[in-house]
Amino acid sequence: MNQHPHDELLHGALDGTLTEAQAGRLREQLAADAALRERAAGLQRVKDMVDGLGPAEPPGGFVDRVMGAVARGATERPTWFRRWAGRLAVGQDQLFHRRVRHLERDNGSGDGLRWTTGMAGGGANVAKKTLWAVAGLAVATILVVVYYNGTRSVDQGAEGTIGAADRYRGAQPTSVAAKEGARRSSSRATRLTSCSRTRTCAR
Amino acid sequence: MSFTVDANDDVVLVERCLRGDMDAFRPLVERYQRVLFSVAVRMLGDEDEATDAAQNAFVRGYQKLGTYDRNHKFFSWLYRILVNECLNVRRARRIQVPLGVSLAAPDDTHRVAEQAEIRAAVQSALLRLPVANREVVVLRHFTGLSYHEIAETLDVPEKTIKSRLYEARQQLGDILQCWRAER
Repeated sequence: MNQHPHDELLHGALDGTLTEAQAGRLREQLAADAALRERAAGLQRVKDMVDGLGPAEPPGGFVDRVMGAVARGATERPTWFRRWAGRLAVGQDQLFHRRVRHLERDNGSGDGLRWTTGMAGGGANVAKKTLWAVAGLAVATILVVVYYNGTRSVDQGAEGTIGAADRYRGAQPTSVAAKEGARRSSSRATRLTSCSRTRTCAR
Repeated sequence: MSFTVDANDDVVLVERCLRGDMDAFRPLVERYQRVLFSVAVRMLGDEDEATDAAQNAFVRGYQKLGTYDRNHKFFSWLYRILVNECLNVRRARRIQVPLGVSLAAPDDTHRVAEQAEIRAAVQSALLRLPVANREVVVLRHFTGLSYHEIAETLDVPEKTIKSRLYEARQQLGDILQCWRAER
């Protein structure tokens, strides 16, 4: 991008780095040049808008969180992990509460579930079991995600070595077998070509 | 926003950390948390990611304190670690949520909503700048560092810093002008 001849002065004025002599020169040029005044106004607008963003405040307890992580000597889990684990937890929580509301509606009362009574011929017991099942499923899902993201498979990163070892262990084709294989493929290719032409392939 | 610190004080605290006094790191975190977080937010455009990047920068900084050269500013050194962390966060990024979308509640006044809209537009424009230009703008506007200090922090000549800053402001002006025209 080409620079404007007065950029040094204009940006210097914006950043407050001009000497008195430079500032005086700029004032003279601004007074005489309408296009330069417009350009200066545009740059000032940009500066004001960017400054208008202001500083961002770190979340509460940030220092303690950092010091905790420093003490642990390790950074936290990667962002994507925490984000998805959080979403999963929220999703499970919503599922759980939706189920509770559903059961409340089924019980025909807004006074919550009757956890311990044997009312309605054991209906509450069924509700209780269902809720425990949903909660158990939530915990199990979270544990599975934590397990698979937190541990490394024993053969991870060793695929090349294992593949090479398997090839070494396997029987190696002899030159006669290789020739026989090539002859069969050639013959099959000829048959297939013929089939596609006549559409009378006998399988 | 600008910040002024006693560089000697930073070095003293670093020395104490290196002697095993972990509590000496706390004043450093307290001193630089705001500026580091602000820079991360403006670079990444997402507060959650910025929190992660800033936190990881502090932790890695602590782990690597032994490599800190006392002849340079502590912030400059920490900033370079932050930039790497921002890049790591961006690599791991799955979904990008534009900042400022939820800044204005539906029942806010028109003026507040408009200001929020402008802030979101400026943040979005910042994110459209090339990284090299963006970081100069962010360092100049949100840390208050001088041209010389920015040059030292980024390890590039001061002339390059000025050139990038001029170009970045011009680009921001163009982007924001388009945005205004489309409103």
